[in-house]
Amino acid sequence: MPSRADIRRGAEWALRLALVAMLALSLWRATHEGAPGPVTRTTRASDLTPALAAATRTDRIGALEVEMDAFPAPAQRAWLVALRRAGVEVRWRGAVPVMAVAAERVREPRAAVRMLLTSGAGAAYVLSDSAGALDSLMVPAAGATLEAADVVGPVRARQGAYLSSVVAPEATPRREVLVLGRASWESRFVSSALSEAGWRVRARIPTAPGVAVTDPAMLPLDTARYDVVVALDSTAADLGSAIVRFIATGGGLVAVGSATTMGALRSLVPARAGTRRPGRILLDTDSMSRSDLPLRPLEGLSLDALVLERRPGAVAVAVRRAGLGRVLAVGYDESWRWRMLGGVGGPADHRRWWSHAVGLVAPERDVQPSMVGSGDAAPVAVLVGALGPASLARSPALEVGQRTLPLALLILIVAALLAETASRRFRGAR
Amino acid sequence: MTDFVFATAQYESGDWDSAPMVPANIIDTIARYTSIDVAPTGVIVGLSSPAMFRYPLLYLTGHLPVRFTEAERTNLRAFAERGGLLFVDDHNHDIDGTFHKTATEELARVYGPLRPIPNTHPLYRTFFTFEDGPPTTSHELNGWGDNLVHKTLSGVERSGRLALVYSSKDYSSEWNYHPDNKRFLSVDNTKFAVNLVVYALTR
Amino acid sequence: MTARSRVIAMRRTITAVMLARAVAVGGAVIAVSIAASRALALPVAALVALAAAGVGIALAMAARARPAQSLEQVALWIEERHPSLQYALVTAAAVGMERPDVEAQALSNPWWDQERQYLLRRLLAPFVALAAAIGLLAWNPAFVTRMIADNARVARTLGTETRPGPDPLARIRLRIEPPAYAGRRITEIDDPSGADALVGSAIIVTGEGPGRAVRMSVDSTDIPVISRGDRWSAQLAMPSRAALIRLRASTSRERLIVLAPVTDAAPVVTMLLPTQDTVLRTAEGMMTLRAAVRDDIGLRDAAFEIIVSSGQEENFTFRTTTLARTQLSGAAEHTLDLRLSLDSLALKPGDVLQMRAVARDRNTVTGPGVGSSETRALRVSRAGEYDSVAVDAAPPGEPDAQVLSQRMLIILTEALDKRRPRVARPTLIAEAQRIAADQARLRKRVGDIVFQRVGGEPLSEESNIEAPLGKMTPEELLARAQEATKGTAGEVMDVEGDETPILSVSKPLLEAFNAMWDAGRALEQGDTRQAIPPMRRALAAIERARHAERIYLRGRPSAVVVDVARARLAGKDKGTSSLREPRAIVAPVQRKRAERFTRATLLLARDPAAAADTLLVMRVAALGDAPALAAVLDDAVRILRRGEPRAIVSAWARVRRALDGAPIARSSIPAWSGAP
Repeated sequence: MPSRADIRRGAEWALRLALVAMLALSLWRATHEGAPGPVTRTTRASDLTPALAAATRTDRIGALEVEMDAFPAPAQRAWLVALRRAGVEVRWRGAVPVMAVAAERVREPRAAVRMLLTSGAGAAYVLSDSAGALDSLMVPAAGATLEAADVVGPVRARQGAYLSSVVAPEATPRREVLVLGRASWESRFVSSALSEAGWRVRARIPTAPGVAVTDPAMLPLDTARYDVVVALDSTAADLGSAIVRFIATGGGLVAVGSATTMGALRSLVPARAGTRRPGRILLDTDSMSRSDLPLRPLEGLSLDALVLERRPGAVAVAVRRAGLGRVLAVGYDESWRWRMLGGVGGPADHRRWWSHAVGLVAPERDVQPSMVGSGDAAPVAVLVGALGPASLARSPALEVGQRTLPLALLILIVAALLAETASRRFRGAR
Repeated sequence: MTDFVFATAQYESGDWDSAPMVPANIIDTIARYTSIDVAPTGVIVGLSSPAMFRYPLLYLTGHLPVRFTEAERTNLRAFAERGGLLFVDDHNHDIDGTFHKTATEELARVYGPLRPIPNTHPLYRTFFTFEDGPPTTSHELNGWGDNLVHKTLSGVERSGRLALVYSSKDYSSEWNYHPDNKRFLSVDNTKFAVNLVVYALTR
Repeated sequence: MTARSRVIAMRRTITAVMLARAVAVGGAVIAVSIAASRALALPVAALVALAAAGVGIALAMAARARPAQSLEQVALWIEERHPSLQYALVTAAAVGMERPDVEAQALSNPWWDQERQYLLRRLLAPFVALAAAIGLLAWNPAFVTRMIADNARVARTLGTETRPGPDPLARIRLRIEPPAYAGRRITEIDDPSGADALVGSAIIVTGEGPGRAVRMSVDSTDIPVISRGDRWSAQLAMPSRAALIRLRASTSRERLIVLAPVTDAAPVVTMLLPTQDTVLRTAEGMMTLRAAVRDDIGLRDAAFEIIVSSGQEENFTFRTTTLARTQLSGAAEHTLDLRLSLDSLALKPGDVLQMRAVARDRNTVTGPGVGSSETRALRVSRAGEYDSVAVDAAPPGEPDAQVLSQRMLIILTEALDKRRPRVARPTLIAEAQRIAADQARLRKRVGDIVFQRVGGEPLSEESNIEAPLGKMTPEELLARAQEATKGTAGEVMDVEGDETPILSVSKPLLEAFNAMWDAGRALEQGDTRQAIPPMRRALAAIERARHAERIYLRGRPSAVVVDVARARLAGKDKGTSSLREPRAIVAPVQRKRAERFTRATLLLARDPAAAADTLLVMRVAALGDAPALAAVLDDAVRILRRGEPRAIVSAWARVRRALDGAPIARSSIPAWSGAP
């Protein structure tokens, strides 16, 4: 009967033999993987890099099939394209969601970031940036927008494991706004609203024949100084030709009420204001909203005019492009009442609306981000563009063993080596 | 676009209607010197009524103690935040008078501490130029009331513009006559009212 | 010394050296593990595993010392290194083998000195490694401090004691002593990021170490730091505006503490009696004044303040008196009572008595805070002045005798109704019609108030507008006004030339107006029983209206219509154009805050402590004008210091929303770029 020492020695020999066998297996794998052959390697997009590395190292992988459980990163996508050009057949499959995100700066002094999202058939998105989560929202098939005060780094829109990202353009300082109107509450409160929204406002407000409250450095009227001219009434008539030149060179115009009927501007405005309709009469507990304001319905819309706001049976706001610039016609009269009588939120709503109105026609001057690192705004389109349409082939079982075997062999070799050495040394042998 | 309407503030305490001819006189003055579209009559509007927000310039005067109700205070705070300008004139023109003490106390509760308006303020140059600040009144020059000539008005600014102008000069007495009687004056003493209105409409 | 005793001594040396090597190598591995976990931002579990590996290595090395317990093994080890001993040492070490020749051969070579030096040399490498590892850790002392303070779990896992380091800012304690008048308890906060305390509270900051090592400033003003025993200490009073304490020490990073002042609120005073203003024909009798006063900390005193204004036009005199001043000695609330004799005031017709309660709190630091109630006015009517709409006298008494009121009409109707069985029908009808006439007159006064608000002018006595108006709901009234503004229904209601008027339609008064209409019709037919319910409804509605708002009864001054066209530009003087400077851009504060927050976000990953400091600075600025933002910033700093990654994410999102507002989502994409 063998003693315990004999059994121990026998086990040590067994370990040595196993080590030799495993080393031989590794050697065999190393020599045979390099052999040519039409092997298809299947992998998931969420774990793509090892397969890409393997397909790059060896000629044995003739085809790479990617299960798109997530969108590959731009670098991985480029790697796939490179492999395809190197002769590896690259296929992909999976029901990837149609998604795209774009980001633009609102053309206002606060330069908020507006994200535009599309979705194939309606889906929930989670938006985040480098500072954390922004919001989540349901995006219908027609798309949705999300406006945030600012973002840090690229914006990421996530739908499950699928990610789309974009870098918002950098904000540039807005130029000045010129407000032209008679001495009235409208002139005063439109100027105030725009100032409070961050616009730098110059104004000319006639108070008597030959007398005005004005900025002596108001002129010349050009796009180097101004973004937008706001003409609140016909007192802007003497600057008509200057305004026409301003619009032609890319400036913006907001024409309100009687300003839309001025002769010089007739060819520029999208519509002309008609006869005034009184606003809604309020009880003392009511707050005024924009829809309660008196209105001069816009009439005679030009063919290229785009209606932005309607009231029952009337057009309230319309816009069009003219020359290099844009012109907005506003039918609302005495919008200042909205600010004063609009309850607690009245001033903010009035301010926001006027800032938006001016921003709508302000020239685009935002700096677009460079393409490097500009994210993956429309990943499906890019994927199809890079790799072609999805493969219809049925997905075979993933070759998980191919990936995990070398690691298991290594662990076994190390463990056997340690066990053999420890056994030998503990019994006193060298 | 409707005309500018001159509004007198009606408050619960005191005699808010102590200078009934001032509105007509100011309206006449606005028409006389400017092209501002102005309504031919003034209106009276309660400080506790939401209707006060229809008139972003309000004139308040009186002789008696001023104690605002909570509704009046709340409305006045909102009025200031939304951009309204309140012009308060002490009809008593008495620096230690009850109107002055109570009105400034109440106004300070609503607007914060009142500070002198420097005589270089745009208010004094916005239509007519008043090099020495607010024009003096005959009541000051005659030594009535507090026997003082007040060199400045007081006020409070919000977002860089005046939200409150407080006068101890008794313009309410000075301007409280029928506009037709203006023809008997060699110098129109209501011109400062034009500056007040133009300032309110343009700044 | 025999060979055996030499071997025994060598055995001790070998054991000691092997144990020392084990401790040194294990300690080095642990130290390097901690340093590596910081450098590589390893999770705590990885750190624990590495530290456990260090302990395991130490134990394994210590276990190797076990064979050295055998004297024979030690002797063999020496023999192996010194073959010249020819196994004499093994023989000599064996018990009972005391042969002189063997002893001489075993001691022939001074092997013990060589082996001791050899063993000591073997200690060199492990201890050099241990020193290097400790040096690596000590390279950033702030890190060690933070590890000790913030990551107790790791410290526990390692089984190490956290000892106070040399950093004087490592253990800061804040003591808040509220001002004496507040009578509040002293509080102490360890490792504070901020302190909320009453203005004027004594704030005492202490820490370990000498005072000379620490510099402290509040909003760029240096605060003297003194030494007390082995601790430093500095004291200041809580300022009235938010401020930031900056603590600096040469051996530590800067520490920030936010001082958030809590303002002592002024007393709240509510006038309970009289409940409303009143007009009296004669001011006689007693009137009860009652007010409730309360304060958040403690009241000093309270009193009634009355002003009597006499005179008219330009001549007025005033009497101001304080009555019933009561010392309250710090009570939190109190009810103030006074029986006021109207006779003693000698009020004359036209006089106005204004009453209010005033209370002061015990604030001796920034106060006293003064609170006052609403003012109640009592006016004595002048002869010939017509007051109506049931003005109750403030004190309960004889109001109905002074004014012809709705209540009086109800009493008259009820009396007539009681006499009804005994009175002849014609007499009943005649008396009922007299009451109906009074009711109609009162209704007209109510109507004047309602329709004056709508139309700007009261209804004249001759006006025939009342007939078509009859009973109206507010909605009918509104519809009529809408029609009027469109000019389709004639000039039924002039709305002051303004096309977006507010109709201050007082629903209670309109209800009273309608109820009076019903009552009048019943009275006209002599049906007193049918008349009483609507009369009571009218009274209740008037009461409601009067509680809801004060109704000014004095009428309006006559309006002068200016001939604007005639006056237009008729003035002799001309104005001058004036300068309108471009307005400064408003709200740079929000922008600065947003930029600062972005910086804090960028710092968050690589230096959380610096990010927390940035948020503290933001909090100081926000305490004045954005308390909601200040609160979420405070929350974020606390979470950041606790180092909870998930909580930080949500805290960051909360700060962001407080700063910028919630993002605005819209379920469409606009047709025009930029359109909201």
